[in-house]
Amino acid sequence: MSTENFKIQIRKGLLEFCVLQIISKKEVYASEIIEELKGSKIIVVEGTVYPLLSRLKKSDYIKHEWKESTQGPPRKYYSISVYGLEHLKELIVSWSDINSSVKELLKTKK
Amino acid sequence: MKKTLTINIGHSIFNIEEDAYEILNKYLDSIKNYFKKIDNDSEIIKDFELRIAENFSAKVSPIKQCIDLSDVKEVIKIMGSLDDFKEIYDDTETENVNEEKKTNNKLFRDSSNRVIAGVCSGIAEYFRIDPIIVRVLFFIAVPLNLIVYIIFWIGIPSKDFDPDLRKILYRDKENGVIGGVAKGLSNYLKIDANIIRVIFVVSLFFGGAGLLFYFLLWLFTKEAKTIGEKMNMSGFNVNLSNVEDFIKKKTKNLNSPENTLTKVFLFPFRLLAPLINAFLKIGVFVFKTIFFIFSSIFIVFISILLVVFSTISFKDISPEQDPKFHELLNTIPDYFAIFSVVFLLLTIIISVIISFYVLFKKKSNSYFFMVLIFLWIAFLTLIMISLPNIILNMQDLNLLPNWIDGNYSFIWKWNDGIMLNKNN
Repeated sequence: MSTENFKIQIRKGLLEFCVLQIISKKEVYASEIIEELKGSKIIVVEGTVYPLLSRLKKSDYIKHEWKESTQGPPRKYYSISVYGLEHLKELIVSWSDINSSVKELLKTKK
Repeated sequence: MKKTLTINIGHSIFNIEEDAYEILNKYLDSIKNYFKKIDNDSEIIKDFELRIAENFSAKVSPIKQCIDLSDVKEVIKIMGSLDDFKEIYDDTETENVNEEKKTNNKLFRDSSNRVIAGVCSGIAEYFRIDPIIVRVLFFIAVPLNLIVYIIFWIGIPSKDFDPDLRKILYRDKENGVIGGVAKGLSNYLKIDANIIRVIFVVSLFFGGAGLLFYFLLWLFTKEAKTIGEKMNMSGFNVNLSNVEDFIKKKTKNLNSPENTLTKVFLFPFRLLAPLINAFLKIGVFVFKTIFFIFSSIFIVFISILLVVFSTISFKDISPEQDPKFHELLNTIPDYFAIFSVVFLLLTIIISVIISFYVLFKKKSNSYFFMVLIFLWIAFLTLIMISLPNIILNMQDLNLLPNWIDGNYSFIWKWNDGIMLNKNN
């Protein structure tokens, strides 16, 4: 497995987790999610977010609301649902499990 | 100077240059196609459009009011191409699509890899063999193949196995020598253009069927003008890298340089091209004029026939007025009169549609046209079936005109139907 492929796999696995996490902090619209994800280099191209958002909405983890914006057309603001919060908690638990075990592995290697 | 279009994308209005619009349109189409399985309420595509609009509004300013090709390319780069989405989604959503493709083993016409209607490539897809094998088999089986092909054409629904690769036959005038017919065909069939040119030239020495074919193709195909048409012409898969490649090719003309043999071969045609072009243009004009005259005469003739026939056959003529004529009318059954009227009406409609197509390249709904043709054939058959009886009936009653029943008479033979026989 090449390094590039490894990165893709990791990103792919974490994308949903990260998006949920961002939405859980506050109500955001798509571009804000994209900015944040791009800043932390989770995504490379913007388009990948939309199918994910649509999937999350279909699983009732998130909901959206149209809001007027000061500049330009109205924006779609996403917020997390009760289900989504539960799901996110589970994800956080499993992430910290994996994270600590990987850290442990790296330690013993040294 | 460039032509611009006004588009409404994500609730915002932009002026966009024509070539940029073509690319943007292709890009959105390809995304729509890609996410069609999971994007039932087209929400994803709307979100895409919203974001593209945001990106666009960052690109326009009072100094630069129009979205151009480089803006679109940049935005496509930001949004990501199909390849990028495949990376993330290939093992979840698209797998279902693939599976469906595998399990759904139904026969379709493959409209994305077609030469005529995609029957052969559909069959090839079904049996998972190379379409060329099926095509050759079909080609050998003349004339049975024609019937089979047409039946399949009508009976099998079409499906794009690879929706981005829909091919349309255009003339490629830009890269062509005379009218771009050969080059267009080569793009379409993915055969080297020179092979097609050689076939055209060689056929000149064998009765000139190639010339007629060339002329017909010229007449019935459009020239690829916009980038979208040019990409459709060669069945380009639309994603960012391809769009870039295509534009590079277009601007730098990266087509492989011609070797000397090709140059020598093409030289006389290049020399003659302007002449032939002018000649062909005149030819098309003359052909269209003649066609117009003939078709109008034909349509008028049929219309008159229709009017005359319908007035005669539905009129009540009393036996006293013209006893012979009355009897003649009585031998024509009502159903036959109705068939004939409908048949003539259909003939008129069909010829009007065909004339419009040839003269103005205005296409009508092809299903509608197919139904018309089907009805026309059906009524023709009905008339053919009922005609012999009527003629024999007339003969029995001595109603046929003298020039026929003096020396000749109709007889019915089971093998050949009705025949004109010389009397002894």
